[in-house]
Amino acid sequence: MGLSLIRGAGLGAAREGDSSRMTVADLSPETLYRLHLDEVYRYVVRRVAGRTEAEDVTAEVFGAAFAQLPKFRGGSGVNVWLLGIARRKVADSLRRRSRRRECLASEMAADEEALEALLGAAGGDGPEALARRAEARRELRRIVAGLREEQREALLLHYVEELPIAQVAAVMGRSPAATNSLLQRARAAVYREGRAYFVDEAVEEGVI
Amino acid sequence: MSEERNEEKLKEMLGEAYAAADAPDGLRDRVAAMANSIPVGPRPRRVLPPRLALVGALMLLVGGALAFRYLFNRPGETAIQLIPADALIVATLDTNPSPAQVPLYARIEKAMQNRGVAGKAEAAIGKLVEDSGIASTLRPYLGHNLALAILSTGGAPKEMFDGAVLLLELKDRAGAEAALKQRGRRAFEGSLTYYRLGKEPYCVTEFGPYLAITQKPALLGRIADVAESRVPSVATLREYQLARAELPEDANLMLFVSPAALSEVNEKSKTIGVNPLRHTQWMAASATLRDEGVQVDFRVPVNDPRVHGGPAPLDEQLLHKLPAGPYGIEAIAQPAWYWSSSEEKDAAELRKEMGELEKQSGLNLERDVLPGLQGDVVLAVYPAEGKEASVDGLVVFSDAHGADAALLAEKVRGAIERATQENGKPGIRFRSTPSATGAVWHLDGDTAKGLREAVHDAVGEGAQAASPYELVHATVGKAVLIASSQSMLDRAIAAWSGGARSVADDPSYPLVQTKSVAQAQWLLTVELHAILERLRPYLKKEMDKTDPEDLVRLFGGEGSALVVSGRFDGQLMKGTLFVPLEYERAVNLLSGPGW
Repeated sequence: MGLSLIRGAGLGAAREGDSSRMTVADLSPETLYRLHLDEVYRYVVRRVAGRTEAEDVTAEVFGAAFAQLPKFRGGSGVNVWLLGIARRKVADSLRRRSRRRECLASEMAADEEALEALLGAAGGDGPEALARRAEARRELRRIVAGLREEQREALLLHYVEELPIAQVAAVMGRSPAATNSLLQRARAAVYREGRAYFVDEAVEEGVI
Repeated sequence: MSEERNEEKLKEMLGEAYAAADAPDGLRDRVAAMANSIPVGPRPRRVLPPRLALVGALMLLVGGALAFRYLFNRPGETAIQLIPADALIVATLDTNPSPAQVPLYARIEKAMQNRGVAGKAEAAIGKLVEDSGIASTLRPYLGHNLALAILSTGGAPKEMFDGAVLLLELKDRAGAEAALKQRGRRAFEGSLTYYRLGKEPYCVTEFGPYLAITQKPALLGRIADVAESRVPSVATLREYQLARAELPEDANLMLFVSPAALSEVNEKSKTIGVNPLRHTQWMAASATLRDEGVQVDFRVPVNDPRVHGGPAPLDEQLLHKLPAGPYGIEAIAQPAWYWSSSEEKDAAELRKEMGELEKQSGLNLERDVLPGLQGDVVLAVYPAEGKEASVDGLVVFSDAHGADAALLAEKVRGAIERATQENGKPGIRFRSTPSATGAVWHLDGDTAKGLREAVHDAVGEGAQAASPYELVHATVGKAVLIASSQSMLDRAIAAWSGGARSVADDPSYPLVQTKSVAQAQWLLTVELHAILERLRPYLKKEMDKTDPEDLVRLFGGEGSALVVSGRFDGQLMKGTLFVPLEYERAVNLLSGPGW
């Protein structure tokens, strides 16, 4: 799976072209969406109910970003700035739909087949192993959905969007220490609830 | 050690559990269209140290939304700050979308991309301007926003457009400057440098982010005076500010006719003797793209010391009492008010004519007629029941505001019968039959026959063959309903009495409610989609190169309607026109082979 996230300090190193030397003055709406559309879309689709809604919310994110671009000074990374906007737009969307709790678990579960295709899991594992992995994914999503919202967000930003703790903190508007503490509690809760997957014996027996 | 292994495992599992694909192509196109609609310009530079920037930010907070609107989002509107306050007419065009318009712009862009319209339009414009020195030289550096001003030059009306100054948004100021220097001939107006291109009579120069084009160099000097704060701009005019506050924030096209222009019209009309605008201070109008169509707003303040307040609003229940499913409705509240407040009614000539009319009819206007016209008057057109491609008409004189239209109808019937008598022979006669709600009146047999023959003579054989119309009317309480057929009258009586579906049950009613001004005194609705649907067979036959569906659905489907409404409160006339539009259909039509 290629998550291909854009990380780094300042403007965020871009993944294509000679973008390491890019300055905030070089940022045009076109550059913005070319470099960050996939990242933002994936962030959104993981959090809202349905792909159509995800597309609408992503469009809203870029609409807001284009409008704010002249004021953006690059104090935080572009990806942090965009994910901050995306986080607010996702919250608006969930508020509109009043389905905050169910979207992460149920929506992702409904896409299990698409997920299989995306992961290319048919490549080597037998049917039994595939079934075990699918079950593990469902179980993990159930556990994550049961976390407090802030813990869940921190966990996904850090491990799925692969942001370092400082950027997770910036996106969430918290201090790095508070974010680290959130993450620790989130991890502990996941290990506790999902001990079948995380105790050493389970790993060694190849349950997952 | 196990903590590290667990964290790796957690990362791997979460990555799998929340894997997601890249953005789909449709979304990529949509966001690309949004990006393309954002004008590219220089980014504002931060030149202030942080503390001063903080003070500046606080000051900006005071100017808040206004500053943002003027400085960043609306280059066309911002350009009025370069137009002198004595301008006669100012028009601005802003094509940048407001946040609420972003999805609509994306829709239009997508439709244009799908049909390849953008390229075609670009090519067509290129061809159109290839002979024009200015247009072909400068087009690559221009944005899509502009302002047009007509400045007073003291000339006769036919020379008025000599005062035109066009301010075009520059998206590449440096490029435009270089092109002017390279291809233009330099000239001077006082200390101002401007350019002429080719043999064209236009003078061109740049003012900050705008390119000014006009025929008279002196007008550029007047723009320079405003730019250098020697004279005030239109934006400082109280009337402009009042007008602007009345129009939608995100209006795309705005027009302002200034007090100076109306004063000129007033002066010139003295020689003609007629000036309907003599009490008007300024006029403003705007057009705004909305999701469901185009909204046009207009505002006209009237300062007539003889007029206090306006007519009463239309009866709130009016649309609940008209039968469902009209093609269109026109309603006007208290027509009697317009006569009472009219200045012309005191004119000697008109009084004489009215006296003659009163003598012939035996009806006194103020005693007999006006009391019956204190309610709402409605003219409506409906599809005729059971008759393909045929329509029925309905006229209603309502009993709102204590109006006694039934009494007026009785007096008018009497007047018609008296007036059409000749040499003791009866003319037009009416016969009545009682009904549960009042009475129904028909023309008597001989009169109806005579009328049919008259229609035949006027319209021809085909019209007579169909012969669907007979004039019938009914009184329901103090209201009068006049219809073009008995079936239409039956529907109207049933709806007026609350026993049948009304316009308020139609799918377009919510739109009519939201798109008309509050407490409207006049209202026009037209169900364009229903009319076009009825014309579908003809369109299909006639339009071999165009998909008739695009035309039939151009103005939306069920639930959409053209809505015009207005209100006058004694000081300000406020009106709105809403034209429903399916933009994608419009793009299809414009890009079709028929064009």
